[in-house]
Amino acid sequence: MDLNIIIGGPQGGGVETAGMLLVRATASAGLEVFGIREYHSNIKGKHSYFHVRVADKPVNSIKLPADILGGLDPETLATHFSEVRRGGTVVYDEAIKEKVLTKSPSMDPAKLNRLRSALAEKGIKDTIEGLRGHLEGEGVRVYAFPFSEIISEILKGTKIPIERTMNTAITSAILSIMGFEKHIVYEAVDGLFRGKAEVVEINKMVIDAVYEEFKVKFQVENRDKEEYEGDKYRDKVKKRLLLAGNDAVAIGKIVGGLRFQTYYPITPAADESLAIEESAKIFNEEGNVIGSPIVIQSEDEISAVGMAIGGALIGVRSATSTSGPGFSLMVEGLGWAGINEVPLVITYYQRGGPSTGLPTRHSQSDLLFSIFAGHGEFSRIVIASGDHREAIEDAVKCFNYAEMFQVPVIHLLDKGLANSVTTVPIPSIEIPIVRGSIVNGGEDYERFRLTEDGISPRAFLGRAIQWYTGDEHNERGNICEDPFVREEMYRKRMEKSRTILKEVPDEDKARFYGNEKYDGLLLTWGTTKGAVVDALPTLNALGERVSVLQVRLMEPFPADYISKFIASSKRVVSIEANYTGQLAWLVERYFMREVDCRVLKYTGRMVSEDEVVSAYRRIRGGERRVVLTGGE
Amino acid sequence: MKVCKECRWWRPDAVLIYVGECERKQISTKELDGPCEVFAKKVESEFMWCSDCRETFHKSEAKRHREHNTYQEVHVDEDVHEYISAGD
Repeated sequence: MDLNIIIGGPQGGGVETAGMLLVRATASAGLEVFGIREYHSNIKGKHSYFHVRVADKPVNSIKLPADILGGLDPETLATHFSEVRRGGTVVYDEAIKEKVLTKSPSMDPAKLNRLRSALAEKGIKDTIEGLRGHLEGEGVRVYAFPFSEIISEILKGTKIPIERTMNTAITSAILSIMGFEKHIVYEAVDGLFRGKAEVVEINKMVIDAVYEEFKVKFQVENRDKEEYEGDKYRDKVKKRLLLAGNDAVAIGKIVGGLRFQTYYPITPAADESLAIEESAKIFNEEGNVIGSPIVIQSEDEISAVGMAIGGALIGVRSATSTSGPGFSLMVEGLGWAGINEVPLVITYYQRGGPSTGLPTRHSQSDLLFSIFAGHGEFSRIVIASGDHREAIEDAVKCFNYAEMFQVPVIHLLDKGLANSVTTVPIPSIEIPIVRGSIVNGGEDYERFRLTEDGISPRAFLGRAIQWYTGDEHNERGNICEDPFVREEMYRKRMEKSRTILKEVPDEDKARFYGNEKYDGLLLTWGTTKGAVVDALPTLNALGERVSVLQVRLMEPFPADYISKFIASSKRVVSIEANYTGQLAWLVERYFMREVDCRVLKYTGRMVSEDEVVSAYRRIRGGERRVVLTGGE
Repeated sequence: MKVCKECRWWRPDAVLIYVGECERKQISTKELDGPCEVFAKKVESEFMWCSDCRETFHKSEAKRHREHNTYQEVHVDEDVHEYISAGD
């Protein structure tokens, strides 16, 4: 099984709940799930959707065309109808059948124009009924079902509005079509609305009615079960985590010993801080709760980074979490942490920029910014996670590296990771907590003492007299502009990059996927890795030997380690979600050779598996720069 | 047609525009339900809701909404505040 389901509607109309219901039900049925939320940055009304991929193998990306489309409103059908495969399924409330497609209230003029052209080109009548005729002609099964009628019957005599359970109704229909037994949907509802007995009860009544009606009216139970086999994997269920990327980072930070987190609310980072605040507890050795990490919402990002620096100097594991606009404000603090060798962790979720840009959309356009941000020169670590599992582990490692090398560490993520939900095997995190060189201080303590390995023993604030300023300083920390001291201190800070490259293990520098003998090497990073790795079997079936190198350590750049992979390749292709090919640029800078081809996407939507395959076909056809535009 | 969407007591839902609430009966209905005993013709007021544009407008702007579905009030179900990510 490998199904792609899109369920959409107006933002605020229950799309999030519908998507999560679908994700929970299919995951609890034993399947692997990857779901991504696409939502507009306004609060209500604009079109949003959940794209859920359900498979009997691990998946880390979405894929088009979709197999099933569920529409809570006419705009969803108008937006996604052309993304449904021949033989796929479309489900909606028949109450909208008279609606005019081009009269969707929140549709952007540009999309409206595209829709008008598509309707004209395909000769589709501008109504839901007209679209239905077209889809059926294309071999798509269309279920226009009286959802609102059914809900209205169930809710008769109550004051509960119809719209409140419309998402459950349509999701139940989809799960029924997929062949899932009703109890699986029940379990998902129980989990999603835990502690809200009345909500659970009403939703279960709706599920009952939809399942019954669907069985009678469309006889889907017998007809479709064989195709979708929804209930076949139940026995294979192993304990797994179902979590969003924000949760993954939160888990990693908690496991890694986070004690102090600061943030100023920003998409798509804020959920991570909220998750830590809601869930994290500190236990003593007897298993009793003795407190929780402190999470502070500061007045702005300048303050957030300043507070996190303070926490790190005091000696607790401290982090701040933000996205592009917030990081821009933190840059001065980053430089301060650089000159003062502060073990600060900044969790950086990239989103579409510049400025406010596309606040709720995906992007990988801040790689170079994270590496070069700040005036002057100082060592830093930038590590980019490619999936949820890596995000958990890297969050632990970021603290270790920050304290081992006494440098600011940027954990680079993206919206695609933050807002995607997936099943992850429960990790056994066996990464030891390494706090680096720590001393108690004493009268002769010098915070910036010159040592053989370039790392000065660190005393926490309060344990010894220490001087911290933004100025150049001597070993004690006193302001000093002597040219020889400057040279020593400058070199001490810069040489850490060499130490980092020596001590960080290869698995944190880059990861290789595929056969060791290859002609084409796909270079990628961040969550784009998911689509590229998922596409690998199909690419190899095309007849060319292709493998993948996911670069993880971005700064200091592990050129030596990567060089052997590049040298073995006849064709190097970078695949990333930005305009210029920022990883490709880094490779070109270090290797003085051109990356042969770039596959780029900057629409704000994630790269999908099918796009990787079609892009590689185009490259084989001679294109050197392929720009992807898939997804709505 | 004496259906809900033509009735002065009907408030379309702000989000799902084909369902709404009857102000008189205090029940949830669909736009093409009806007719019923409380049906009354729509009246215009100083501020109206346009469900085609999802916005409130002043009568001075009525020209812009001439062909649209307009109502005296809109129904906002405050309990349907499912989690919506902030876009700031």
